[in-house]
Amino acid sequence: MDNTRVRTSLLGGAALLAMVTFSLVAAAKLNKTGASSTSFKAAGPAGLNISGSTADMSVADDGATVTITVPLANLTTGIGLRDEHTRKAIDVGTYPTTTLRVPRSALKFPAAGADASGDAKGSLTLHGQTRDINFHYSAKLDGDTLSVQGSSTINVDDFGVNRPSYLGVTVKPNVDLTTSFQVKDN
Amino acid sequence: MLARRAWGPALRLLPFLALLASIFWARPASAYPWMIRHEYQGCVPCHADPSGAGLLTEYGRAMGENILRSRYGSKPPDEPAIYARFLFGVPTPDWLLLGGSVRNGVWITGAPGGPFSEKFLQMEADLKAQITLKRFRAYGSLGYMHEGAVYTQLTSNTNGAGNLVSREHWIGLDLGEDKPFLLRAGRIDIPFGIRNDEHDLFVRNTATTRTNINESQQDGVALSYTGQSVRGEVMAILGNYQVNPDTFRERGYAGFVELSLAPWAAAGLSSLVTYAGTDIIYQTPHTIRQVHGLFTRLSAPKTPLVILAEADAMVTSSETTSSNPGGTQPGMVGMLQADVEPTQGVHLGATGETWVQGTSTGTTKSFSSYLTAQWFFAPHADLRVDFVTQSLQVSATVSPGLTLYVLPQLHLYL
Repeated sequence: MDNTRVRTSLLGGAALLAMVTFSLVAAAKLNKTGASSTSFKAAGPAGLNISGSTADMSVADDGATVTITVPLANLTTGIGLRDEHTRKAIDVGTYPTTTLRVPRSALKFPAAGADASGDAKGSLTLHGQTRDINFHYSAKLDGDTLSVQGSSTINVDDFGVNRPSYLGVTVKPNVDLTTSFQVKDN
Repeated sequence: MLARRAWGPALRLLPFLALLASIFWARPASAYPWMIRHEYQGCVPCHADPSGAGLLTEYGRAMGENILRSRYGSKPPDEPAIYARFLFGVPTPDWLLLGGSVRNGVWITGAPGGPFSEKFLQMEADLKAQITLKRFRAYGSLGYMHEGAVYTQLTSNTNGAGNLVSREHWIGLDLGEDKPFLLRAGRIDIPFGIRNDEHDLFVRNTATTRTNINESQQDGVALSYTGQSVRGEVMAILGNYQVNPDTFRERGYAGFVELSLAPWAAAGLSSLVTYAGTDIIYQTPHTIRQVHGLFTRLSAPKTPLVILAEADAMVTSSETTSSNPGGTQPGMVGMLQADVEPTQGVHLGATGETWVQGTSTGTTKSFSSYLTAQWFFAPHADLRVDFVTQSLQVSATVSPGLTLYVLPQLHLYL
């Protein structure tokens, strides 16, 4: 009987500790640290794949909303002319960034040393237009550093992007986006 | 057209003579599998042939300007330059693709320590065209060869007296909403392995592999597929109708499938089985030729390095007669190639290859190494020099002979 009570107390204590830890992490504000990468993968006709990436990114967190901002000026695809066509298509001169805003409440934050993953809805601004998108994410907390990966597929027509077309080769509207970054909890 | 010859023990040398002949005589139109460094894994955007090589599309011509050749510090223009067109500026309607390829070289060869000899090589002089009407296509090539490429001849002058040749001619039907499929019938490059223009590599050009784009084309029906992550082609081989008599024509199949593992990595497998009443090279009766292999293309991310590798197992079997020992001869060919592009338009390459062949008298082992420099120095033009060391063992009872050669060549595409 005593043993059962002790086990119950220990379990209850562990659960309380986990909840406190989770709440603390969830309540913390996120600040970007280390390297980051955001990439896209688009398709053309007959198996043509086009991918590009940039290491530029900032993460802001006001306690209610996490905002990920990716400057697009340094988006590269490996071919200079294709970079120019890509930047022209999304009018980087006028709309230099793309932004994803996600309510913190929509995210699961992992406990220390643990993983968390899930699907969530956010608000993506691209080419000056904002649309809700669904994305998948995973996160792992190591010490006070949270490593995050996310992915989504968007239809660039929904954002008014003038899809690149070059000599009869036109990019298809569905584009895969992936991102990875690290943040610290402060 | 070719006539049947007598058989004899000396015919064991024919595969090696065929290999040497092909090295001497030709190098066909261009195919650059190292374009995977730009994440171009498939061939369709740039070539009319879905499995690569040959006639360029308008997009392919633009890529030739934008990312293939040296630009000497100038940025590629937003719209393709007029001189990227056929014959440096001839406009063509959307339904017509025109092109051509002229390649000449000088073969400088000798044994270590011995005298070297030179020979001018007229390697290719082909015109090519494709007409497209909605989903229907017709493709053809017509060229002139002073000597060599004997299995592509349309005329019957003796080798060395000049012949008209046609390497490819087919009609096709694009299928599917985005036209990922092409069904075609006619004379077609054999779909097998890495399609490159180094047609003298063992993987493309032993008497058993015979999958080069110089003269290995066969008549048949082929279906290709080009998707985002998979591409491939399978062909029912009905024979080469530019050789006679019919006993020399091979029937069977060939095909490959390549899987995109990452934007910078692809791997595939190939298979070929053919039967001929009389093998045109081995001159053996009732001959079955099998080749099955694996290949890969890898572009080291953020480096100018591309690795190409292929390994093929081969089996040749033929009927035993009084003049032919017959039986089954296994073999293996392998190739490993590194291509580095230190600056746009300049390629430095190193290739090692091996060929192990079972024969009725034992096993032969041959090796080659290539050091290559290639410079796409101007619109429509490239220079290439190969420094080759080759150890060919023509018979299991004879020690291999070492040959050195240097092959500078100039290529113009029209």
